[in-house]
Amino acid sequence: MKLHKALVAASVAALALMGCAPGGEGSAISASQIGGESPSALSSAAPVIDGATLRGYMAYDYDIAESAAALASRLPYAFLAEVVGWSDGYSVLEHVEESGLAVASRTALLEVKVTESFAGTPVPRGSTVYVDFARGVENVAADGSTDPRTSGAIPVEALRLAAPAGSRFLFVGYPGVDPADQIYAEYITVEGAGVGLPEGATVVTPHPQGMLFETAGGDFVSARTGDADVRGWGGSFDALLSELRAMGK
Amino acid sequence: MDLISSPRARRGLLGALAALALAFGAVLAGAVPAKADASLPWTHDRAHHTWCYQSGFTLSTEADWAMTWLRTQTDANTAFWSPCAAEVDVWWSNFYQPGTFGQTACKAVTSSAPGVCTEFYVRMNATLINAQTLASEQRKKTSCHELGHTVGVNHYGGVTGLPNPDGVGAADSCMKSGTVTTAGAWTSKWGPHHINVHINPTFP
Repeated sequence: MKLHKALVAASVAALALMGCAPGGEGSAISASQIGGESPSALSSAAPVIDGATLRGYMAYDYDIAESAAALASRLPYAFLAEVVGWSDGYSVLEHVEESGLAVASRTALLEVKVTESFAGTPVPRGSTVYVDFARGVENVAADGSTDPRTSGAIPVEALRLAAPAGSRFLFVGYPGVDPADQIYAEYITVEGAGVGLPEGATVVTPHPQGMLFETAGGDFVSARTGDADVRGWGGSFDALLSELRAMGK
Repeated sequence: MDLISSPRARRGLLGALAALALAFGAVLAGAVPAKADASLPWTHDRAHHTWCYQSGFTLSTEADWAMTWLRTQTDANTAFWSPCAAEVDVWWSNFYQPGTFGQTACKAVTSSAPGVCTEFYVRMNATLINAQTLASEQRKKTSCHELGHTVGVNHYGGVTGLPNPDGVGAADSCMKSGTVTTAGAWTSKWGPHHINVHINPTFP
């Protein structure tokens, strides 16, 4: 895991050295956002959130909301929650005909405890919800093996360290989608569907802008789309919460 | 001094120095192309772009167009492979996720430089795309958009901090994120900034 973090940090640092200037399409990701330790982090009891690891290797085309309230007003779920724990989720394998190769979409199951519900479908305080969390895509060889050195999927253990139990985050999103309905390839298999889910569990899936973790300094980092997409939203995690609370008044 | 004497801070400092050293080494080795967009979690491997489709992919016409646009608008070269095989750069497939027209994932990185992606998985949400008022334009735009992510450019649009990189009032490009509300050539083009600053310098 330390190696993984160092390598992610190295690649991000390399990109930061050569990327767009701040104010263009997004400035470089800071060291604190990839698991480094800012001075404010050292003086706070809140967990350090590793946003780059949570986001993994994914990018999207979607309608970018101008604010947290604008996003929450149009989606079924908006709540504040705490991480209880991470576990491995299901995988959807898309097979390449005749070759034996496959591409696996890996997920994690994030168990959370809801502490406050803001809009849309009310979720009782203290209730348990499961977030269907995409953790990336990787090749599967004909013999079923994968190569962790080149995999595009983030290991569950890395996610566990990136957002440890007790981390607070704002969730905005949708009801979960059945794994078999997520991929339309001709030859698919689903492995591990429903693993870890109790009967009648509430499963949700986030909007790209809909998972924002509170950082030790009171700021927030995005766990799905890049931080540039939410840079214009409020000044702090608490400011986001205040904005959402005001929706109900 | 208090900061340096902290074990956590020392680890952080050493980590940062190691990261910088690795990054510098990667630059010297040419593993990371110049001018990659810093807001993406990857850069591509500098090789020309091959592409293929997963079985059952329904938007192959638009995918072919996008690969052709990349070849004609930039310094990239592209070539079609069938069936998909390891080391093809761009695999196209369908998926469904609410609220997302398309998604690009890196499915294989270079083992020595995890920020360098060698194989991308581009997924199109045909259900959502085809339900749009300007479905034909949306298919083109999202194909172009996702392919843009594979050559190192990020999207823009919507909020403060995400302006059009070609400037206020400049023509839009397919890297504008979200629903297509006006038809036009922009849905099949990358902008000058993306082409000249980010895409072309990464191809031999």
